Amino acid sequence: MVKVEDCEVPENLYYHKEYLWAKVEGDKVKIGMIDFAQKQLNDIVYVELPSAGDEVTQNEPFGTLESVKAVSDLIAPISGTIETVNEELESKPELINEDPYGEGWLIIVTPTNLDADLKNILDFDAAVAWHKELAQEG
Amino acid sequence: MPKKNLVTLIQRGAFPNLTGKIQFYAPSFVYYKNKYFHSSHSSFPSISITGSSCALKCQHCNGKVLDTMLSAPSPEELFNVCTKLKEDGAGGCLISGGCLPDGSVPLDRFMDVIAKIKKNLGLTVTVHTGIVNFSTAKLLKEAGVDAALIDIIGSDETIHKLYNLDIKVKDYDRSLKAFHDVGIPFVPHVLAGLHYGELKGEFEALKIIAKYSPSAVITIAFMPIRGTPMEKVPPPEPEDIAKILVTSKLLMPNTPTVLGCMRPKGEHRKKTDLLAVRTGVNGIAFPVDEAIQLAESLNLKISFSSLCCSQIFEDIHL
Repeated sequence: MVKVEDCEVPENLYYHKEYLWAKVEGDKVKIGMIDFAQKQLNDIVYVELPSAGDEVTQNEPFGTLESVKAVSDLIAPISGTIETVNEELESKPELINEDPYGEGWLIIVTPTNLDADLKNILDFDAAVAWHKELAQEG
Repeated sequence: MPKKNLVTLIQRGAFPNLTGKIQFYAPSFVYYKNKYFHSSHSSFPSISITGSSCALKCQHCNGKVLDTMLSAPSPEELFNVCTKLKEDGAGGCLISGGCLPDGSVPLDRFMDVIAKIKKNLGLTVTVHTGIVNFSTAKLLKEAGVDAALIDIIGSDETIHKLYNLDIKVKDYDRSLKAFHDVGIPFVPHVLAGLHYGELKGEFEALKIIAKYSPSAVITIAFMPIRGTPMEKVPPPEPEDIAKILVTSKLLMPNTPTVLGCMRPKGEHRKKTDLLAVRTGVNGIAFPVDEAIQLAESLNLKISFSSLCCSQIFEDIHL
């Protein structure tokens, strides 16, 4: 893992420029919010996620997130069928702030077009470069 | 009137939007993205001229809201921040900050630079003022400020307990009179449920506001913020917020009524926003998708602005 400014960028993840990460775990993909975004958004107070069995499509909204500083759609980094939703976020949305790459994960999906989808998002090296751009933009 | 009866009236269309249009706002002090609108990161940010400092540390905020703003604690820094915003294509900014122990925001040493920002950069500038006297109101007017924003509290008990302030409702009244007398556009905010989630001084606040013909009235609502003494206090119910909106509209039918940016999130926000549309509000900041859809279904003409909702008096004329 590297740090850009004070934001963590772990290896072995893919990154979507809508501020979510995707981690391939066997035949599933875990999705969550990047550290940079949770820091920008400040205290996250509400997350609305779809249910297990629902479909998500790359670059399309699949949920909403609200914080003191944000009211925003969550945009899917890859397409797939939702296997598991992090139910704990319903009562503890702050987990996204506290542990964005760990306990604050959002959903786990079975991908439907993984190889093609991964080509459309950033690998670790590209993500580090992108984080440097974000840091420069302030 | 019991809340249940009010909601029935609202649902039956007793408070229609007679203008046939509703204005939505998404300034960049909140990141807002949905299929209808995407705020840019710098279109209209909020700037604190006290950094994270506030002498009051009110129970509902504890200075936490200041942490979400850009910091510019000196006139030079304020000008530099605004110059950068202009270069980035911003339309304007909200100048805010923490309060001094008397409930005022320390604006006086920033007046010259605010005038310079208006003259040289041409940004729309709104200012959170706190309590003001005639002299400060006049300086704001002379600086060319587009609108002065002030929270009006209608209960001495609330001012004392929540704001830790040794002032009275009459001091807010005097501030409004000062704005009115100098002729600056001013947009009072009523904070529903500030008194530990209950309605208390809101109706009195509206009565005072109505005396001075404001440019618009914005209703916001207490929302529990983590890290504050009131983080566990339940917010006012959406119906309470609707009651304030309806009262505002009835007391000031020729003044734009707006549901502002600060309000509880999640399912609560959905209920509030839907009720707000049905109360005939003229504007909503950061509306939920469902409220936009409801407005469309009521055949209201909708439009979005990336400026602060206090600017509604420039967008809708009643």
